[in-house]
Amino acid sequence: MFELRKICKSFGNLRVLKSISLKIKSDIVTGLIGPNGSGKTSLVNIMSGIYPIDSGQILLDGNDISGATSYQISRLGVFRTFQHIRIFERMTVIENVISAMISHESFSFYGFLAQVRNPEDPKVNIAHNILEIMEMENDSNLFAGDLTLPKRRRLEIARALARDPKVILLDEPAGGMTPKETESLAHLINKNVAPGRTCLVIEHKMDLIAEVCEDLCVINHGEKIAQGDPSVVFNQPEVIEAYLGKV
Amino acid sequence: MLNDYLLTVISNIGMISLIAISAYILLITGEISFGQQAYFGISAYSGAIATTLWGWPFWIALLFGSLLAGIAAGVVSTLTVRISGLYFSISTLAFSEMVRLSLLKFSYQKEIDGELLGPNGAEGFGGIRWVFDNNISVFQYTLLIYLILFLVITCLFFIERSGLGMIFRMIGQDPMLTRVHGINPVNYKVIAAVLAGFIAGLGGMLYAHSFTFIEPQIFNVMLGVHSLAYGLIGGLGTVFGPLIGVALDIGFLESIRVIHGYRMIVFGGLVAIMLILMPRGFLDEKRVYRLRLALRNWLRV
Repeated sequence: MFELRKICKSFGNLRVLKSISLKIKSDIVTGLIGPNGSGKTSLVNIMSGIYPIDSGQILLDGNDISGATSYQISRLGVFRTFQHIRIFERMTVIENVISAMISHESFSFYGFLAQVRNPEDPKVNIAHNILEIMEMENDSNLFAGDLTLPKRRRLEIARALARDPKVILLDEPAGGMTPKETESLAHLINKNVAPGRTCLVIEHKMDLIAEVCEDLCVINHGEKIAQGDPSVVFNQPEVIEAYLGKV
Repeated sequence: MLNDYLLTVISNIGMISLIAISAYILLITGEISFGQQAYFGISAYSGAIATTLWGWPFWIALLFGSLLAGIAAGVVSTLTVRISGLYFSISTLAFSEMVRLSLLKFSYQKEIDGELLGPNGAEGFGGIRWVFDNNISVFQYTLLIYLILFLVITCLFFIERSGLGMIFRMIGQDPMLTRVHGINPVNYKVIAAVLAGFIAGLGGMLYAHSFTFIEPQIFNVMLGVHSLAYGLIGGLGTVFGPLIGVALDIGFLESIRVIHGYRMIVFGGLVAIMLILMPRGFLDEKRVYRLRLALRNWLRV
């Protein structure tokens, strides 16, 4: 379980997160929604160690990980994707997937020179299987920088699957996708990403949220305003107010 | 028949290739170093002192000079590893100038066979005669240079295809994403810098013994700028990229008498054109990948 306790974060005079507390339940998909600028991405940046926190506590499975850096958090089994896609553009698709399987542990005396582009390497096999799941097997030799936007998003998720994390944080995985692409992404998350993992999905597309999330958390102005079953949360007056304004 | 002039050009290409490769290693990890000439110089001086003044065997002196260069690179990169981009470049430039200016003040002379030898500030360091004392011909020394270059390229060829090489390229493309992969770029940047310093050191030590005379002025910033440009012209997709750059500059522009005087104009123009048309050089990642696929298919048929 990922737990945030009274997290505060400011950038100069701008208070982005105001003592926010949040529990992300294990092995289910939790949605995180909120209007623009409500602090969703900042929250993910804090959970993945990219931003340090001003105060509060972050617990992963009961262990205090506040103050851990992004690579330390990653080693505990947390992987994230980015709202503004980050992939290795000057590598091929398959190399991108393989790169996710390289860990700091491969830098052991014998391991670090282990061949990675050898076709018989088990990593290559795993990477091909993952690309098949993502329906990208025909693109494996393309350069990641040449992919279309939906495929780049898929590649990010393929890399997440290759990393096989315990906790996965998806920051707007359907950003820039058509309704049809979003639907197939929802299907993919339900079938391949979510099972056996703790998932957090930030999204603006409510159909995706409704499709994949069992728990939903709403934040606004850096504060949590609701959490619970999506169908209940959607009808709470505070949530409607945050999105549509006061009547 | 290979005459001595041609051999000198060829051996020059080999030695400068080593410093070009060292700049290339840092380029693929995403850092632009203007200071590789410092490690070239450190090793040239220390290696030459070891053979000439202390009478060490050549191979041990080669290792000593290069290790010293590697250690210096390790210290500098440990101090600068948390800065990147322009600030990194400036700090490497500052360090290399520090080394050059220190060498201008550095004097350590000893009487060997009735002659005062050793570095003496701006007057330089002459009489590095190991090659002559051991009756090694220019041809043999050229072979030696290429043997070492071959070993370096072979090692790098394997490193580039290993996890370590992939991590270097990951850091070069997106350090933040690399961190999300559980990899601390800081450690790997130091490894890359030590490796680069060591390889530049190999080149420097060989250089000193090839020319028998070195002076601090040789290791000025132009050497560093050139070694950077070789990778940027030849390509950053493979270790052979910088070699193409060196062969083009030294083998063609510098050695042919007609264009020699215009070398810097042509070379500077070439760098500018390449940066616009092919920002990652001729053998960039894509071309290398296509060549590799073509080669694999050709071998299969």
